Amino acid sequence: MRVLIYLIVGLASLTSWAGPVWYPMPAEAYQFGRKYPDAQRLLYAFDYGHALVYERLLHSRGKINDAAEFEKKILSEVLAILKNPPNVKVEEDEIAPDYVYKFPLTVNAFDWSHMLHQFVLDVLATAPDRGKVMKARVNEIFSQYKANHLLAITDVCKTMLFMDGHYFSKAFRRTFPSFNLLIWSYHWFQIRLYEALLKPTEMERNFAVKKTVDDFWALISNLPDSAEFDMMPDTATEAPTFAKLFPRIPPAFDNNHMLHDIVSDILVSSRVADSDIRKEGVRTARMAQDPDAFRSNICPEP
Amino acid sequence: MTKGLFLSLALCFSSLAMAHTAMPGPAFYRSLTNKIRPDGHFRIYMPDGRHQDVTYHFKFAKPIYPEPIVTDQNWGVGDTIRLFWDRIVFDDESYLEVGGERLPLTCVFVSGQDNRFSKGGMLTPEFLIRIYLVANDFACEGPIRKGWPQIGGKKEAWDTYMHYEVRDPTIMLPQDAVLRYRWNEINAVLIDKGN
Repeated sequence: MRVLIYLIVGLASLTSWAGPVWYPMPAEAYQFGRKYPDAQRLLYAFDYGHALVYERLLHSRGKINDAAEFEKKILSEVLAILKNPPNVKVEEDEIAPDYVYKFPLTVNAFDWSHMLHQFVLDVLATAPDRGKVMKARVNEIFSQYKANHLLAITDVCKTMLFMDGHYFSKAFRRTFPSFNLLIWSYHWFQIRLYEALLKPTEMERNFAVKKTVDDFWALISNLPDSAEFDMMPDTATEAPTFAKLFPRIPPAFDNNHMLHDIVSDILVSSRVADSDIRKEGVRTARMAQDPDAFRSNICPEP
Repeated sequence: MTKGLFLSLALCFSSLAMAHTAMPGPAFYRSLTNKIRPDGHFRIYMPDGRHQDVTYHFKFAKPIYPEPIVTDQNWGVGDTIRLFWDRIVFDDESYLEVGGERLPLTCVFVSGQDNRFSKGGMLTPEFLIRIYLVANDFACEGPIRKGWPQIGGKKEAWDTYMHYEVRDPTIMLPQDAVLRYRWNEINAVLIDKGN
């Protein structure tokens, strides 16, 4: 009966989806979740949590009198989701219809990029070796990602000014420091999984994934003190083996993560007029796609 | 009598001329896409008089197909229906304005039919061009989602668009317009206010 309920819930969630489609899907798609269900469910919960926060911020613009109280309330809601995460991918337009409608290009680009994230994890979780076969497969999927010029976020390194150099920058982390650290902990978890999956033996990989899950819980156990990030974690630092093997993918992930922070700032900053939100969303998403915008000649070293 | 004979001869010649018209290449169909009106003003009439106006403006950016896709359906000798499809991305300044809300108009999808080589009746239009001016989809993938129904879920991809038909490419008049706004569909009528 329980399986049937999960199946129905799964199909129902699929029916809402009208974002970009990766077709045909890689043979490995969503196999990471079969091997590491706890980690996969956390990833689904992050998607849920991100969308929920964006929607709440959009609806609460200009109406938040007590930021600390707002943050406490939404943190408790999101932590409840993290502790009881969904079994299937929940589509953003189900949770955050107005956010999705306000940020169409950003959401399109996120959808596409999140599929790359997921499929790379799926390949790493299932590849028979840690060498040629795995490497070729990840690069193949990355090439498919990049071929979609209309949606791909660039793999060229950007300076931190891309995230922090706008008139509305840092509004989110200044107003909601704990929630910002939770989001950076999401990013940390996602990139640490790549590193964990590159351990030479399956036993080591299983152990490393479990440790990453445990470390994530420790990171968010007592926010803001438990997560000591001064800056958004970057892929090359947190996943050096992965960055050496696939040097072009980390910038694509980091640019995606920076764009998430930008969206949070747009939603929180009173300097962005309501009527400009959609325009700023398109403008900043275009920057994320543009290899020349905020281009950095120095990429973080693994 | 003379008038009737003249008319019959004229019809005969025009049919012969049509039969010998060479079928055009994809560039011709791209030229039809390029003729789509770049601005439009429509009205959704309401019984209580609180009518809703919808406007759009677009500028072409880059074609998704290098040239339109063209295929022929042969129904017999001298009876061919030519189908064509085109897809072009719009510039970021393009918009669809509904109820004062300006949405990014992201691309056009054209699904057309060239009936000039078929044995249609006198009332069959030479062209039937279905135009979708799509909002919010920067990938321009639709109207049916890739891989559907095997991948499950929703059949259609676009939550918001302006759709209309053009039956005469000389004037490119939008007809039978329908606005789809966040999946809800409603009929609209072109309002030509002039410039």
